[in-house]
Amino acid sequence: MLAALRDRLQRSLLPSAVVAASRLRAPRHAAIRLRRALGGRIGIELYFAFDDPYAAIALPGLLRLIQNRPVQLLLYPLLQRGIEQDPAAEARRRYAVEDADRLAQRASLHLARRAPLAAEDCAFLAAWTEAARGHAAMPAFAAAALSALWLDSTGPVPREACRQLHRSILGGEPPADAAPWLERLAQNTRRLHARGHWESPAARIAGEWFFAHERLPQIAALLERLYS
Amino acid sequence: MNLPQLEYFFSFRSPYSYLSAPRAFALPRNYAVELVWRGVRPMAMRGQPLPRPKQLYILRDAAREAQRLGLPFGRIHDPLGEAVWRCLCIAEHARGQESLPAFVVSAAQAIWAGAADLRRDQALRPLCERAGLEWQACLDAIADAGHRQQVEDNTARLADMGHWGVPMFAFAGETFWGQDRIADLERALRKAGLARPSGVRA
Repeated sequence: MLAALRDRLQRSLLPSAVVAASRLRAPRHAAIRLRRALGGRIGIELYFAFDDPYAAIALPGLLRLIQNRPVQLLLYPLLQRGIEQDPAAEARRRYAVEDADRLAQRASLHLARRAPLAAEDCAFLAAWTEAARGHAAMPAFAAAALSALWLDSTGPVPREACRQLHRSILGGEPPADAAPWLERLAQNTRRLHARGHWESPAARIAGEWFFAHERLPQIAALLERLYS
Repeated sequence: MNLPQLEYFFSFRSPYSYLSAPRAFALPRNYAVELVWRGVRPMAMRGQPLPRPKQLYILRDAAREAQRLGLPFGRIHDPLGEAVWRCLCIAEHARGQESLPAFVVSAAQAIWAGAADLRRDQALRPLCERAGLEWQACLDAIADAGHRQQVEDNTARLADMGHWGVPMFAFAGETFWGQDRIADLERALRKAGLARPSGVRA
């Protein structure tokens, strides 16, 4: 009897309740609209990794969506991401390059890079972005660096081109050493986990998570509703 | 005439597989391809980790996607275990018959939108019969070790192709993972010159 109840709870009642609760958006959206009416901005958090080709689709796409809208975009660059001890991790990384290129083609773009990048090779970019927290041009720099990495280059990570982007967009030299920023980057991963996600590029908007590279139209529709 | 093959990897435990099914089975009507059914064991039955945040994301995202696609979703009964095997074996039995799409779509819908416990005959039998399958033949199929072996072969093929998730389509050496990648697959089919002229449907 107890086993049957537990079985029904696990297989049916809990997952069905999760879905039902996810549809209760009206109170959240009403609160956001009220904040907006009082002069507040809608907040979007984007957790992303420079070694993730999907981020090169997600961040520029998000920036296009929020153009001319009073949105506060908070970026959280990551070094660690994904599921621990995932046996498919390498296969995912290889497939992501191919798949991100197809997603780019939807916007008439093309990924020049055809092989995965190692997180450690991109760590300096995560550190430079984290160091620019609070700078209004931080998202523009991160988007330009992602494009430089994935759309415009092959071979080794184009550190000098990214340094030029830092100078031109953020107006100064990047930090010489990534080490001081590593703890802050680790905090970003902990924050992602604490808020209930595990992977890049994850966007949190109005209490909902989206894989931003593949849900840009859905995010656009949500923003439309919140601004209506 | 031999048509180019389009392999379709599907799991009854995957809500995204459910969301893909009506569009996947419609592909041969619009493109000159043979859709090859590849039912596979769920990730949780082949050692792939599925942590709680991912489980929750999948349910919530699938609910949004179902709404976008106009498909019912949300009254769930997780088929992990015996219900998965029963559905996979019946699908193998129905393979190559017109009843395969009807059975797969209705069984997946019963799991993800009807909270049907397909371990129970009284829930499974009407789905089979409505799809045009004879119940005794379905019971025989469930007990058929050959069908289970075919599912194992399908699952091994998915892994051999370097993939882990479903729904997954394989066409001409390219793989397309996700119900939301059918548009990209269709672009590849059009590029291969396989779109049927409008008004001409298989």
